[in-house]
Amino acid sequence: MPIIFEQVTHIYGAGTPFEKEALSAVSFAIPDEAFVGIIGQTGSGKSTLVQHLNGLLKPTRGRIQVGDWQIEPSSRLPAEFRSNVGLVFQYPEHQLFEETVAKDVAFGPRNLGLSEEAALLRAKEALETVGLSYDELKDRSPFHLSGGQMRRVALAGVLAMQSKVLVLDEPTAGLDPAGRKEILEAIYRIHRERKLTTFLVTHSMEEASRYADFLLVMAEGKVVLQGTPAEVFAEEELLRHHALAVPQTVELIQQINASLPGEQQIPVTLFREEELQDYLLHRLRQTRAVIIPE
Amino acid sequence: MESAPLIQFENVSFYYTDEFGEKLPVLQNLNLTIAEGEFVTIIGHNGSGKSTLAKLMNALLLPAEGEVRVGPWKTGATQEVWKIRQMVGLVFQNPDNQIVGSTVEDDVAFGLENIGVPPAEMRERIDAALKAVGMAAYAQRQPHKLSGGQKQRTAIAGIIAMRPRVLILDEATAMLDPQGRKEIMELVRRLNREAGITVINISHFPEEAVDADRVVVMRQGKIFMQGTPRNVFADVTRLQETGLDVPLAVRIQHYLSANGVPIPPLLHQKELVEELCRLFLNR
Ligand SMILES: Nc1ncnc2c1ncn2[C@@H]1O[C@H](COP(=O)(O)OP(=O)(O)OP(=O)(O)O)[C@@H](O)[C@H]1O
Ligand SMILES: Nc1ncnc2c1ncn2[C@@H]1O[C@H](COP(=O)(O)OP(=O)(O)OP(=O)(O)O)[C@@H](O)[C@H]1O
Ligand SMILES: [Mg+2]
Ligand SMILES: [Mg+2]
Repeated sequence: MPIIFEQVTHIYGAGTPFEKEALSAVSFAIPDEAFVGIIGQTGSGKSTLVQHLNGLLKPTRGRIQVGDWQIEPSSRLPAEFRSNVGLVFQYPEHQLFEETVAKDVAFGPRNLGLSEEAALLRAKEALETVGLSYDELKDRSPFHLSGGQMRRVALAGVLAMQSKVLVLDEPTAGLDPAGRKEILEAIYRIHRERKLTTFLVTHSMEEASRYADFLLVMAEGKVVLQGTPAEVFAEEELLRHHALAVPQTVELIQQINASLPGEQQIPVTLFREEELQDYLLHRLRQTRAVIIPE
Repeated sequence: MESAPLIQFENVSFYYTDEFGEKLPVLQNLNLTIAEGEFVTIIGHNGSGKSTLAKLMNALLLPAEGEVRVGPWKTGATQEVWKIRQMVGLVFQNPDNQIVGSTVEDDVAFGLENIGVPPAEMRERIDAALKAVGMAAYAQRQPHKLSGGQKQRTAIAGIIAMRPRVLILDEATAMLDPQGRKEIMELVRRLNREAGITVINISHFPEEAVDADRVVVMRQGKIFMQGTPRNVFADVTRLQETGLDVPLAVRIQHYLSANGVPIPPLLHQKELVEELCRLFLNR
């Protein structure tokens, strides 16, 4: 679903002493089936922005278009709109509420009108996608789980809805390294197979650069930079100005380059770890062909 | 740096009881000693028992079998639970479970009132703690209306203001941006070095473990490995097999070495940069 923000401003508590403008005239246009990464410092407005995508927050000023729906300050959104956009909250506890894990994950599909059986089937599938065993956990309370397990259940609940737009607010915080990778790979696969439009809020430049076609960089309620990962990471100075870092791979390349002569510099576009590793190996084989066996 | 044990687990087992009264075994026969002044990082897969271990350290949970000793007390056999909690400050994995005040500064004040800090001193401690975590400008704000990372900073301020002898951080920086995480880790390292506070940092970021005195690796309720970061992270394959990871520099060294490049085991990114430059420049 194509998504357009036009001059969107959001003010929390307008007219109160604690009035806070969390989004300031944000504009961007996202084509259908894009994978969008959103990065930015703590408090820059990422969660505020993504909560506009499913109508949980409405703009104070400006206009949003999600597919054929228009969201304006006074819009009322039909229930079917929400089922089109699945949002995973930053803190999973904010979205878990049922007595058991199975009921919790099946809630969305059941609400969409699926039969009990079909809803449970979807729950089972979704739990497996996030690396949890349905049989082991189905009757457990979602609140009596470890932090990472709760996160996985919350993710499963949204995946089970099979919505066309997927919005993930720091979905990998609290996941162990293998879980991070497996779950993001699974989401990426689903994104492509089902032709979704996906938003990923993340503090990890590695995740952002690996999965996103397009990045939005936020600072103090504004989108200060947008473009492909390569375009964004090329703006190192601007990123630094907003206290954001380039991916660790890029930082490593720069540190190596600092000691290498001009003609031996490593290109900073190798921000994918596998590409960097292959490049290093290849270069070392060339430089020291005699020593390193192929 | 090494000194008398401050926290000691002896053959500790722990079970949660589920809704149907069935026992869910979590920790099994666990032994662990933490010395005063140590900086220990705990890593482990989701559900391996890290948060449970943390809660046993400040008597929020009590062992089913075995003993947990904290300073002079056995957590399962003492009335002095409040003294234990005063000595061992735990920053929860989810700040919502910890924040109680109606403003950010009230929240920090609440903990101080509980441990009987005189009002005159409270002001100073609150200001210092909020400043240390970069939340001074938010002192009057309502904590539930903060961003995810701002809540985590507030939760950290609440505990460091109490100046515990042991500071446990349960994934306390998971929602911070890389720069913010670096700043908080520097703060914690300073508290460890300068104020001698014992630190136990639970984290999924291997990078956060490289400067620790010791890394403890949990797996299915047991201690799977422990040692200096250099030794623990040298075992790349074993860690990755259990779903864990090593720092980027170690991954690259491991890959190159496995492909025949003569590059010695290392830990810090700085070392990798030196080694690669040496190889490239044929020195
Ligand atoms: N309900 C609210 N009422 C008032 N102000 C709020 C509310 N929610 C957030 N804010 C403020 O709006 C700003 C943007 O918050 P938001 O949650 O969108 O940030 P974020 O980029 O998601 O940060 P983080 O990375 O810490 O999650 C912050 O300064 C925050 O304090
Ligand atoms: N309140 C509870 N009731 C029942 N079981 C629980 C409860 N809290 C945790 N558990 C279970 O105990 C085990 C250990 O949980 P713990 O929270 O200690 O893990 P963890 O290592 O901190 O994981 P994470 O990295 O996900 O935070 C998990 O299998 C979990 O499901
Ligand atoms: Mg947020
Ligand atoms: Mg935990």
